[in-house]
Amino acid sequence: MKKEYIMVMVKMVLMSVIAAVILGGLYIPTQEQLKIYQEEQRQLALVDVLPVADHFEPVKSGEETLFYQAFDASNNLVGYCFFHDQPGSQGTITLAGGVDTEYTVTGVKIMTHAETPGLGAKITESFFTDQFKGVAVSDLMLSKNDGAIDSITGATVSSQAVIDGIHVKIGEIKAN
Amino acid sequence: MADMTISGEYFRGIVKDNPIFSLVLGLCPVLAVTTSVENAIGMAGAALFVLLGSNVIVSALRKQIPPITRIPMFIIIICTFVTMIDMLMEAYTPPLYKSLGIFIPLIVVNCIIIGRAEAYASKNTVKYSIVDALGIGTGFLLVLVLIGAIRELLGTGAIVPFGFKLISIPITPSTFMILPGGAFMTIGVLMAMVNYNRIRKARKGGQ
Repeated sequence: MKKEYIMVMVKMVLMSVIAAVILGGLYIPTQEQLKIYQEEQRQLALVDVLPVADHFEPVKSGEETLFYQAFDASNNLVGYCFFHDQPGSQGTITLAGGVDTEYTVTGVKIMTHAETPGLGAKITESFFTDQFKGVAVSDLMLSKNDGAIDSITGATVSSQAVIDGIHVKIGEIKAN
Repeated sequence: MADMTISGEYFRGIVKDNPIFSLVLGLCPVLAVTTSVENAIGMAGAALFVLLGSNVIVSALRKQIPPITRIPMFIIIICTFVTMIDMLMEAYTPPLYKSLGIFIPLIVVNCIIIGRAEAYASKNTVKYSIVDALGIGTGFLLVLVLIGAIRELLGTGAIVPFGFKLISIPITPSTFMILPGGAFMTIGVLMAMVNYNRIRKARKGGQ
């Protein structure tokens, strides 16, 4: 009896190891491809949040890209755009944002988040992100704080996080 | 078993043992992803990949798998193939991957796959297991595309798979068809038609 059980265990372990090796092997090329796609999506997001821009120049601090200067087709500076990771209510919110040269917001796009479905997750929807278009930095606050942005019902922390994220980046842009 | 033929086994998977209308398995993805023909084809392709892979491996190892532990072993095999297609689709077909969402990993619990592993692949040769997988996979594809076409056509007024506008009819689209209610209605009506046909044939045969 015991020998049967040992054989069964050996076979299970062997099968699991082979499966793990195959999947590990497949992981490498698929992750490479995924990175390429994600980079494409990021480039598209930059144009999405600052539609008048024609091309972008990254502004770096060491190895890290802080934000992008946006130029139109005649090489005039039309604004800045950026990606930013901001702590939300359930995790990190990665947002893409664009501002013009007066730091008025031209667009916001939520790239990834871990907020509560049905509540904080609504930050991705256009009814929320469209509010940011054309908002001057002085009005960039929740409406309950006399700003121009209506928070999502039941998701004040998530809404505030998006606003804070943009402010942090505007501060960085001004400082550079 | 001596009178099995390749074409016989293949068409059995489409008609006599149709996974949706005869075996009544795998209904969950059928209802969920048939909001468009494109999604239907994507799901059928992913499910076929897993079904083929698992049927081949289960059949090849059928003499090595101890009966006492066969279900866990089937699951490991099926999960491996599902994870493979999941990684491949995420990397190479991102928009389709996003549309199908959670239903790709849910192929693991699709009863069609473990059902065929248990009922067929573990008892037949690799050659016939491949034919069975292709047949069942084709049956699955046909039903998925049929329901997807009905729901997409009535729900949006046109069928546009992968960017090619196939057909469009001048009706007021009914969003109900895109919602779960529309899925249940469509499959209910189709199932009723299939069963009516079956009963009618049985009566004729009896006389």
